[in-house]
Amino acid sequence: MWRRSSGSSAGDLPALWETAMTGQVTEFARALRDAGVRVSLAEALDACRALEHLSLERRADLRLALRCALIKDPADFPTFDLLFEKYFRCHWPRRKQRESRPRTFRHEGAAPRPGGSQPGTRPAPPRPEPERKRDGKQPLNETDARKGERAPDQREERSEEERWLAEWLADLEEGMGEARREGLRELRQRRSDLRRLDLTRRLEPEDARQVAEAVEKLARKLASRESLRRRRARRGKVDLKATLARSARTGGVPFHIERRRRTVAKTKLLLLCDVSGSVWRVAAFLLRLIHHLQNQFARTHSLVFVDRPVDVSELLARYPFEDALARIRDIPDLNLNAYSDFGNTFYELLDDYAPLLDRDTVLLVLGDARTNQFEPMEWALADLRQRIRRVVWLNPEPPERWNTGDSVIRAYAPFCGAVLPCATLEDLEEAARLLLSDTRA
Amino acid sequence: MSESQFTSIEEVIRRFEEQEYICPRDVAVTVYLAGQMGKPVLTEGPAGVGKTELAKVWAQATGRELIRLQCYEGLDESKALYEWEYTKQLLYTQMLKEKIGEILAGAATLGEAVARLRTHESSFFSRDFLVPRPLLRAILADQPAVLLIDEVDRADQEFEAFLLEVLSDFQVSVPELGTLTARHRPAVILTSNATRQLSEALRRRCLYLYMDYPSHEQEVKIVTRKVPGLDARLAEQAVQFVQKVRALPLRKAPSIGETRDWARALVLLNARPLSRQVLLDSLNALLKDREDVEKVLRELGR
Repeated sequence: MWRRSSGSSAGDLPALWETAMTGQVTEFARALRDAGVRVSLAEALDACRALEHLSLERRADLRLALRCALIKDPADFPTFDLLFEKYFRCHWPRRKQRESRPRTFRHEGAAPRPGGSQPGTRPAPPRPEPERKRDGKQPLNETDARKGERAPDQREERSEEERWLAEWLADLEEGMGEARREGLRELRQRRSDLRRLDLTRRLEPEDARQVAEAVEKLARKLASRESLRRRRARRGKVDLKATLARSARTGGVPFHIERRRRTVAKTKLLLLCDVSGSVWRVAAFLLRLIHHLQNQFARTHSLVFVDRPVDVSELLARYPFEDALARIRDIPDLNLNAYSDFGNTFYELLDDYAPLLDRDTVLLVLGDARTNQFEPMEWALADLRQRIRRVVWLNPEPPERWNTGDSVIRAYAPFCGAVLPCATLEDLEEAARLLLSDTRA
Repeated sequence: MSESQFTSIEEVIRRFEEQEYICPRDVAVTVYLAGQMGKPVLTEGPAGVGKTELAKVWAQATGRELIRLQCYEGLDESKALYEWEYTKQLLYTQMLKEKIGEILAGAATLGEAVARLRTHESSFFSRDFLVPRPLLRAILADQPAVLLIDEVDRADQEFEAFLLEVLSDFQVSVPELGTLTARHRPAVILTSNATRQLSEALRRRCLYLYMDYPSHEQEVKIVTRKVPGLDARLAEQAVQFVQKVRALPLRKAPSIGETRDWARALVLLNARPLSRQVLLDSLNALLKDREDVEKVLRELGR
């Protein structure tokens, strides 16, 4: 199988190859993006360039090359594999096809490539028969001898190659088109379904797993957006080490004061999750999201409650997340069968967790505010509100059900900076964005 | 170019094998493409799978020097790029006072004196006083080198931004000396234990390689090669055990190095075949965390 050589003359074959494959790779990159993988233009270009250095012989190599150029996160590997199978499913050039040709299929030796690797030095692809002679001339292995020769049958061979290549590319294109038509729609549909899935219901294990994955991906996306560029603070604490280092230039006298350039997040997050009944399911996803976002906050503290708050931060810190989630249900102090009591929870929060309540804390409450005819005790929340920066309430019920029956959200709402529904992945994303925009202040 | 560049994927595999490194296909493809395209390689994966080893082997296989920058929290530009020895410079200036006096003797005006001094500027601001740290060493190297930036996830984001700048142009401006450009671009490999998410910009810049624990066959191959005197059956049993252990939720799963050490311990203990008692005795060579040991013992008890 010939390999594309950028240094060859009269770029008929290579040019055809280049434009065609660039198109395919771009198409593939677009498909990846639609499936939720962040592929930048630069990476797509890298992938195209990477193909220049490969021989088409092995599909596996093409796959690995595309993967190392396009996918930078192991969580995206399964999506890549899936799409690669769909998009590159044309008949890969088999050796049998080539054997039928009377000539060896080596690309004409060209001038040495500026990068240094010579096409001629590539080890010969395994062939069952020895090289055929071409009209009494030597086999093309001796490329040096053949360099520069333009015999008429070489041109013929070239057009033969061209035709063969065009055929193969057409095949590939068709495969891609098919994949595009079927796969794309289904993936897109699934993704939007996933985002609107009601998390308060019991989910199929497969769906639950996918939502969990989506939550983690969301956390990563939000986290990396935050880290794009750090501003250099002109104010801030003095960086003693850097100042002294700089003062060496001026004989030990610190003329210039270096300041700490890092902008540290100030917000401390206090998460308070209702884990009764169906809210538990949403709580699990919220805990997962916050767990993966904890680096964005100065400190994260997680508590769960039914009728009183229980601290689970240590559990989450000690054990892997799945493990910790399972253990939460086994905590002796937490009575999952009790009736929800929001009022008492707030009261105990004030009482027992006072050290956590400071000016930089944001309290994130997840609950349906159905307090089972217990006293709402909104004054406790008001008191909490006084001590901390703000309260954000996430309610897993649809808004039309708020304040019906024993839901007392209206009693708590005045003390909340925001009251948001939280039943789907979209809602979780909204809530997370809100929280993060706060930290930038 | 000579042997410092790979000309094909097969060559990568072959040369790595000469260095006793079993090279999976994805590693070979990435290393090959990185060399051809001049892009850095970012490799992530659990600790102990051979990321740092890869850099060493790459350097050996291509006859290049390995320049290593070990990242840690608080690593900043000066430690990574260069330091300027101001005190040494000051000292030299003091000691050469007489000579300077001689040079300036006879200068009629202040302007003339300064002009004379200026002609000797290069002695004051020379590379004698420049202490190159790994990044600058890689830039100034006479021969192409392999630059290993180890555990880049331990450094902070500011450092990543700085690294990006250096990696894109391979040139650095030293205020005292001007801009220094690399004569030969080194092959760059960054490793990360994925303790935190690296910035997108850095990941975009590099070719990505995820190195995971080896498969059963691969690990048997590695262990057989690295541990002399290990018979095939014991190797199989040992690797089978390790692979099972890795599937458990441990704090620190055994790395390839630990498998090798354990295999060596088994050879020394003349453990053939692998009996339960030997396993219990030698488990400490494999697992370094007490809770993990207990967990495995519990599983064994079943």
